[in-house]
Amino acid sequence: MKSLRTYIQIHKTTKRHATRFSIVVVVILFGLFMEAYMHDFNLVYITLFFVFSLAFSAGPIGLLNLGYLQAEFKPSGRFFAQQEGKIVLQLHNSSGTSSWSITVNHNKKETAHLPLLKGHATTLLQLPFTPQKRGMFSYSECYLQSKYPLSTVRFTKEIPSRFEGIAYPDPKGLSLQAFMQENETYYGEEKEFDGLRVYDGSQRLSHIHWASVAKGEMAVKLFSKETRTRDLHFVFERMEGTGEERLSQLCLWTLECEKYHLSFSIQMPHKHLSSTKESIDEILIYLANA
Amino acid sequence: MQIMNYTISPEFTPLIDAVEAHLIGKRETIALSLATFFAGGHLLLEDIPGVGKTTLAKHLCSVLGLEFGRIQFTSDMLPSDILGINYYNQKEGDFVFKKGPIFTSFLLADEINRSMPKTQSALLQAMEEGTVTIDTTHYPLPQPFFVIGTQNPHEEVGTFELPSSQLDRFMCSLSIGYPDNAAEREILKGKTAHSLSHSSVVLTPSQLQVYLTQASSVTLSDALLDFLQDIITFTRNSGMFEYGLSTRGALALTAMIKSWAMLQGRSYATADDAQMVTAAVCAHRLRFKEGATNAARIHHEIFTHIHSDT
Amino acid sequence: MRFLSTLQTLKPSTLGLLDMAYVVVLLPLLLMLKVPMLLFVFLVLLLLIFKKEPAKPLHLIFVFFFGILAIYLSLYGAFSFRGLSRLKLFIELLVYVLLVVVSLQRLTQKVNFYLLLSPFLLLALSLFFYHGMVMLIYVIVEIFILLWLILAHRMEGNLVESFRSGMVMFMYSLPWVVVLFIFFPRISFEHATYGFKGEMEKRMGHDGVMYLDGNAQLVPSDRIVMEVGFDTKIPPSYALYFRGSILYIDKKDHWEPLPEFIQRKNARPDTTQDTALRYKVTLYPTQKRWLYMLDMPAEPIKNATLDSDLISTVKKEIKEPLHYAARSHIRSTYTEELDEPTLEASTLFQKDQNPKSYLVAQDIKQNVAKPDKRVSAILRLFKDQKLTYTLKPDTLDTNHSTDSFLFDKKRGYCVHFASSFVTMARMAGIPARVVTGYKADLSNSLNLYLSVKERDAHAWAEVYLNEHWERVETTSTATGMDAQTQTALATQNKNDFLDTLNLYLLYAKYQVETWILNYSNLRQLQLLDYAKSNPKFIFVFLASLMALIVLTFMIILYFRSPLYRSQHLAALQPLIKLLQNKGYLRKSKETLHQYFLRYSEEYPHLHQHIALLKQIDALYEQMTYADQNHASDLKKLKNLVRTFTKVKND
Repeated sequence: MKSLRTYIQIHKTTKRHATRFSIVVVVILFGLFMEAYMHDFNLVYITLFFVFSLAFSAGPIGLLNLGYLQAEFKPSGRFFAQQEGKIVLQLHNSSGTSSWSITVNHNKKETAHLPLLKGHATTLLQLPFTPQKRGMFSYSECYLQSKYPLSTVRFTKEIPSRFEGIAYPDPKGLSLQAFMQENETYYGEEKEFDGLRVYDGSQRLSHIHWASVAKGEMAVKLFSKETRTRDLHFVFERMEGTGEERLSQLCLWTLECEKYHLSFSIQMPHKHLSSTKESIDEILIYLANA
Repeated sequence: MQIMNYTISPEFTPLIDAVEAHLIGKRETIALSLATFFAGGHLLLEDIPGVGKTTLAKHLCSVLGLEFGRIQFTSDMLPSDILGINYYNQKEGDFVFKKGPIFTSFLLADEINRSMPKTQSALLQAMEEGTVTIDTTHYPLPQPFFVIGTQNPHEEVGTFELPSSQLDRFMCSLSIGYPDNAAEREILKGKTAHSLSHSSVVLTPSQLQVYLTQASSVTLSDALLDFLQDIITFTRNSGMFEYGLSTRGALALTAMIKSWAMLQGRSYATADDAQMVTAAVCAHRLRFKEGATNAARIHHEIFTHIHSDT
Repeated sequence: MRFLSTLQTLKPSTLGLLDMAYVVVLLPLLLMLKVPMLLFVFLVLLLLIFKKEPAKPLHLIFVFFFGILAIYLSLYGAFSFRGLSRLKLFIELLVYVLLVVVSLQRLTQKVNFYLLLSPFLLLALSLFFYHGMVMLIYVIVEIFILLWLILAHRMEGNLVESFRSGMVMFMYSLPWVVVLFIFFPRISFEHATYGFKGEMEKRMGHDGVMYLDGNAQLVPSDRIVMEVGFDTKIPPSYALYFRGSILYIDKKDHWEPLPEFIQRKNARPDTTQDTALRYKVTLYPTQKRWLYMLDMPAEPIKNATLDSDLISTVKKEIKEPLHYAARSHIRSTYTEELDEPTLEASTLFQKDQNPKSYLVAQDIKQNVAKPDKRVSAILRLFKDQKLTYTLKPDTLDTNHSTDSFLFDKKRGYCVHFASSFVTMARMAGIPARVVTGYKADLSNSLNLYLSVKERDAHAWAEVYLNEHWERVETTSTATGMDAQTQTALATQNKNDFLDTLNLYLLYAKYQVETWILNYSNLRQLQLLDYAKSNPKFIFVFLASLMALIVLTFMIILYFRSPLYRSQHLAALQPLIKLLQNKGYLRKSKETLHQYFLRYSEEYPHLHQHIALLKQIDALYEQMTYADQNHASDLKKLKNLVRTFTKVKND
């Protein structure tokens, strides 16, 4: 009784669509029927009934294949405008039997394919997605699809929840290092002999560390660590380019600062952002929504 | 934290007890450190200062009966400060090799992230190869050779983060963490054994050798290998981590599992062993794309998602 | 097991699966392909084996022209546009064209929609050509394999799992097929042939002429001539005479029937319904026109004529298995007024051909007055001659065959007995004739089923006494059998077990043919009628249908249950199921060991359970991780699990 109720439940949540193979089945059935009826040919009748009942049994089997799947979006990485990100979808099979040949579709296009999900198993799928512009986006109209078992019926099941994400501005522009090389001169500090690399002729002459030349070895050094990183202060209004370009540049710098563990602050028209007070993600969200 | 089920074999309980006398309430960490030693790997301790990293290393060394050496890494350290140098002996009129502090069987490399990458890699290369190469001459390191590296993850200024390829050379990473309430109370009461007192339990070199070979001969059944492969595949394909487990990482995992199984007094390893050591092996090798990476979360994500009948 | 593991590792691509489908589907079709077409298929096969890369356009053009040539040569002579109205030729052409097209597409190594469809088309077409027991089995297997391959395609080439899923689907549909097959409304068209090839074999045994000379070498053959299903009961052994033909004319070395141009009265069979026995016959191709009926036929068979000698014939030679229903009265006599030609034919004899016999016959004729006494006297004479029954008689002097048989050689078989007897009877003034046909052997019967073999071919005599024809079994006058014949017959019966087995197989085959291959609207109506009169039958029918459904359901359950990694893990399943049913669920990251341990901690009062669980846990751990798999351990584990599930804890 309970299983019947589950079945009805599954039946309600799952939709069935005809494929071109269902037309084939109909044509084959018709042909076999003509062949059988005209000849009173029991072999053909048997084939006909087999084709009919196999096509018929594909319904419940395909339904059970897809019906027990539960899909849920998981927190998934950062998204940037115009860049492909991965939305993580967790799939759980709540029945004891394996589910086969499942695809996840978004906007009627296949985005991920999962050949097998064993009984009671959970798996994570990565759905590629490219946000068109910065700001909030929602990933909806996503459904599971399976043509198992005979490809004659396409079963679809909506994913009830939808993914709400935020796309940060596309990180573009001049890298922090290049920018600073253009704009600053810098000097060594007390850690004079750290980070030396052997000069092999390909580096810029201005990078040669003369102090070590005095000690007898030709070395180069980039004073990235020692240039004053403690007060990187970006001011939105003094930057070049359009608003979007500025946001992209700020986004890039934010990410770079995160990578090199640099603290920084950004002066936006109506808000002051500081990496010591706000987390990187909070800053990025502000940039996304600005 | 995950409730773990394990019973250390009576052979090894005295060793662990002896270390625990100085580091109350950290049995599991002690046992895992011991397992790392028997697995033939090196250990990375990542924690804040003052939770007993040095204590653990010292007393572990004393029960294993090994020669203790210690290097405190600083930013101005050069590779030769660790490995040793060739100097010109004027009396003999020839170059003589002076061994550095690395020539010991149990090395505590304190705060390795403070030194610059060149020095770090000198140590790590020696760890990996078991020899030191100076001016094309190879100097073998003593056997067994065990390194406990420590680093403070929360300090950022003036440190050189170890690249993941270097971290991979450590078999396990553990953090000791604060003691729980009961243990802390014991410590405050002054129940800890005197730090200078040497424990009476010491392994002989021959016993050590027996255990080392025993640990490598533990059976890994097909069923367990399936399980391990599921774990490895998950770290690579789930999309949760920046990089999956490398082959070296996978080998480290199997070695740890075997060693841990030996500590339980078994000649075969089980899935429980795998669950027990996975977090320690993976914590410094995997990094989540999002959110903080810690051992408990790695353990949770891996074993919630892989589905093997074990 | 090794086979299973290779199957597990084998992951054929779509093309590989398609090729497997072609092998299965083309196998029956290859039997009907003409030589040029076979050559073409062979060429394509060679190309596929030796050229791994997709074919170039030039190759394709070559193959295409070769295919056209093969079609042309295959149909050369048989083909004309008028011939297309014959379905057989049309279908053949269709098969050829399909083969060429499929080959071309297959050589490009691109799978398209139509290529995926082609196996099904070929299957449907092959059904036109064959209609027999073997094909029935083959088609069912074929359908299953095609289903399996489709599923394997969907499951990325996993052959083991797709086999299991295929089995589930097959079992889901089996009861439907049975129900549909029985109840789907049919129309009463005759089974059409449309010029398709039947079984073209010639059969020995009975043919309209009876030879007395060396032509009549008798080799006992176990070929089935016909199979008979009786409706109510099987007649006794002495009544199983199937009439074949009636021979009147003695041509020295052989006997012949009366020529057809002689006008005779039609037979008046006794059509009394109640005493007649109903039975159904499946007659295998004889290339003759006779239909065999038990003595004595009660009514003509549908579409056949019953002549004045109660012999049934059809207009055309029988070239493929024929089914007919018949009714006969089980008796050895039938009343008939003799008309002039018949009387003349059945009394004619050549005095000088068998002078010795004539003398003896005259003697009997003069001394014995009553005709029936005369017959007995002749039979007594036969007995006195101490005739030997043999399958290898000495060659008789065919100019004086009766004399030669009775007084000289004294060795022969049924033919010689019957012909001599008829000659003698005619000489003694009694109208007589030879009857040839089959005398069935009751040992070839099972329940209501009887198979008649070629070795059952027989000849006997009929004499006209008191206005009716009466059967005389002439061979029974033989006094003995020669050793050779005895051994010849004995070897036939020696292997009792095999014979019985063979009989059972024949029986099964007969039942399948009657109830499946030749199921028709008549049978359907029959079944309904039977069900109406026997309510018990409905119950039995429904019960067996239920049994079938239960059986298929069990098979489905078996194949739906997940495949466990090892036998010991499978052995644990009842225990895990029990714990889960108790509401004690396993967490997603727990190993079994941890699960069991948690159970022991949460239910510390269930001492018996916990003790058992500890043992099970330890044993399972040993088996799974220590690679010690002894059969005894598995048994022990199963026993422990069984005890665990039986222990009652409150």
